[in-house]
Amino acid sequence: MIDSADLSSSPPESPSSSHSLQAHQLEIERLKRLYAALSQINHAIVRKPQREELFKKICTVLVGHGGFLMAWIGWHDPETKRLMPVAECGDTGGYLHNIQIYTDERPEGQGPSGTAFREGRPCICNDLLNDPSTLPWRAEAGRRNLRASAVFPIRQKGAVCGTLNVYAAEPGFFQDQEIALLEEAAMDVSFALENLEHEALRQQAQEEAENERLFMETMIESMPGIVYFYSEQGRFLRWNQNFSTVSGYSSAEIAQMHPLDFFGAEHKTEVAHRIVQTFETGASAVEAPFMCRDGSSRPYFFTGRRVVFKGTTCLVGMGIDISERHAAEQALQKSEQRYRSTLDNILEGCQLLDFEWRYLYLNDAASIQNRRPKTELLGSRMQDAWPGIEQSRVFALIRRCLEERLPFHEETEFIFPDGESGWFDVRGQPVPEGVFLLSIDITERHQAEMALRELNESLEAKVATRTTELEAARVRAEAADRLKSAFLATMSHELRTPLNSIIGFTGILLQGLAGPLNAEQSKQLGMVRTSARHLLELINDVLDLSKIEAGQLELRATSFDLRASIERVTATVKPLAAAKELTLTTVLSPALATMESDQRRVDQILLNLLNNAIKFTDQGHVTLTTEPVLDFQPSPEQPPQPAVRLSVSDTGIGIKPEDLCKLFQPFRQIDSGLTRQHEGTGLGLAICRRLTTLLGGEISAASEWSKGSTFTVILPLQAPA
Amino acid sequence: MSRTILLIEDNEQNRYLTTFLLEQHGHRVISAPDGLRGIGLARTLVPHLILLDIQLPTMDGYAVAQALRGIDSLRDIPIIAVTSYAMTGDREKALAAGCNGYIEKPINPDTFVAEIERFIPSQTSPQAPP
Repeated sequence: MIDSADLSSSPPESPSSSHSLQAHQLEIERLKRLYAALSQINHAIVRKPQREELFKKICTVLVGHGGFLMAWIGWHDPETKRLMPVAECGDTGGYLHNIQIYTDERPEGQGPSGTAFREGRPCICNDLLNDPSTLPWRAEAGRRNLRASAVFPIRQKGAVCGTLNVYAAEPGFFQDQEIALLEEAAMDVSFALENLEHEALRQQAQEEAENERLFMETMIESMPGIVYFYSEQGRFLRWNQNFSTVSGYSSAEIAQMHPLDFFGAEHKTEVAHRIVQTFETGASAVEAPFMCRDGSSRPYFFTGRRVVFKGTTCLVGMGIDISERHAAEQALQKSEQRYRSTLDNILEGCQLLDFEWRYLYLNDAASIQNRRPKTELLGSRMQDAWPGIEQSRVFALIRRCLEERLPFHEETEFIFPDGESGWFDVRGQPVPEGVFLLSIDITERHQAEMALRELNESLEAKVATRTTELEAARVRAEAADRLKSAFLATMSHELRTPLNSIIGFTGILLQGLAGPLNAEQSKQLGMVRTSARHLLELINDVLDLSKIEAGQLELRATSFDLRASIERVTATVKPLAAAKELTLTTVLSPALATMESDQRRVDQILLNLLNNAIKFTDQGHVTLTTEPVLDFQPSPEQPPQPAVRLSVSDTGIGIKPEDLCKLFQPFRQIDSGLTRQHEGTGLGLAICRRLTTLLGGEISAASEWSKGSTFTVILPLQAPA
Repeated sequence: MSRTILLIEDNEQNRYLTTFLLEQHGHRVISAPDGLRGIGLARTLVPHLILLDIQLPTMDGYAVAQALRGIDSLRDIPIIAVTSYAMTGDREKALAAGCNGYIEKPINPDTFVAEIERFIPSQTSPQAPP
């Protein structure tokens, strides 16, 4: 810095001539302006503006006050090796825009600016138009009337970073004093830059400190728990807002309180002990109810650390509300208690073994199964409690459960050391502690089962024997059936062959084919014929019945007209009725259709009933009535089906009520005292009933003694297959 | 109308009965006591009708009927089974073996002749002399 004293004492070079006086005056004028400019620059520096603002100010002041034609500040760009104009004043023609100045050895770096930068010293060119070093810019400089220039390095942290470039309109403008003053100005700028940097750093540090403080504060305030800081004497130095919110005390109140004021009497000792421990050992923690201003308290967990703050030993602590955890723990404890008391009292044996096979838990039932008190077993290993158990099945099961974590459920035998056998239903479940065993003593049940099994086996054997016997019986019965069939066939043949002769020759004789007979011979031969025919009827009926009983009667269902059948049958019995002077009537429903049944058997039934009716009726009439039945259902299991009802009514002797039930049994011709009068095999109705059943129908009788009877047969239109 | 009827029947009384009955009605009856002789006679005579008992010694009536049906010259001769068999299926077996009719024994002497005459074709006459 140059003060005014220096200005007054600056040496004039030749004050003798008027020219030189005038020149001296000019020189003084120039220096005055220069001083004014420097003063302005210093003012600007003192105001600590930003760098760009300072540079701009310097250029403006140098042009405006220093009387220079142009001033600019170039800043070095290390990448391009160029001096980049960062501030200028007086560059009206775009001079700086048109030139390029470098800081290395190329021609554009050999000018005053490049040299000053490279060599770190002022570089003066008092004749720009003639100096060889300014050749690259000469034309531009000439066009703008720039005749002299001075360049000064600007330093930052001792290194050249830029240049201050000043231009004058007169050649030879820069003399020693101007140079000295400008150099000083450049140094002031360098100094100012240093200051600026320091200021920036300081501000940055301050900002960072403020940020850090804000961050800490935000962090502390946003902590879920309460945070506090107190001295060894128990004076609160800092606390977060939450402390105040939770406790209900204002900050002013907290400042006057002691940490122990926040705990109930029963917890003060414990907490005090922990506080002392923190100051002694550096850290501690405690769980205690935190008491608020309104007397309520919540379970809290506190941690404390000893810190030294500004030379004072303090405690920084934090408290977290553990109400929820507390509640959960209590619930867990309760549930565990409940669980345990349930386990204690259930009848199944419950045991918990750890991975070392140690008994961790046994209930009463397990203790009984283990044949000793729990206390003897708890903590001991299963192998020690039951020597030799390694060879047992249950041990293998538990081992697998422990090692492979596989549950099991098995009924297994356990041989006690005294040789007694016990059976247990054992379930094993892998649990975090090891394995949980549920066992039921099923020894008695097992014994019962074994006894039952033996019983079953003997029963099965009996059943098998019986089955074999029955099978043999069945085979025998079938053989007997076959024999019976063969017997029937033979009987049929053997009985008919002689009957053929008897009936045949009787017929021939009666026809007179063998010669004329007298009346007595005819009468007697007639008796032979009647007896023979009766015998034949008897044989036929017995054979029929036997065939039905033996299941040998095969039905042959064909489609036939029931009306035609009835006409044929009534035609057969008409002579018999006529012989007894009985009226034989048929009342046929017009709705009668064809039937799908065994025609021969249907005819046989009708013939039988009509024969019977005629046989047992001496006067009056016999009536055959038919009517359709829409939904005949012989048994509830069968679906309803269309059928026909055939009724044969007579005005005969009738049947006594007590005899009605015997009607359809074989050889039960009612003993009426009239038997001899009414010859018959006594098998007709039995055969009728069986045939009706075979055809899927039913037969019934209604009668009034001495008034007559009605026999009713219902036959389905479609016989069962 | 006299016809030649072959009767194959093992029971002597029955043979006599049927022969007598048919001869009384003017038919010529030749009888054989068993199947083999019956078949031989049938070949030679070529009768108008054959009455065949089923229960025969050695070769039963069904086999005889089948054998007769296997002889070209006898193919169209009516065969009537006359049998004391009356079990289920006997009629069907006889018809299946080649018989044209089936009459159960004992026969009814009043209707028997008329019954069998229905089976004799009216225009034909015996091809061989008696």
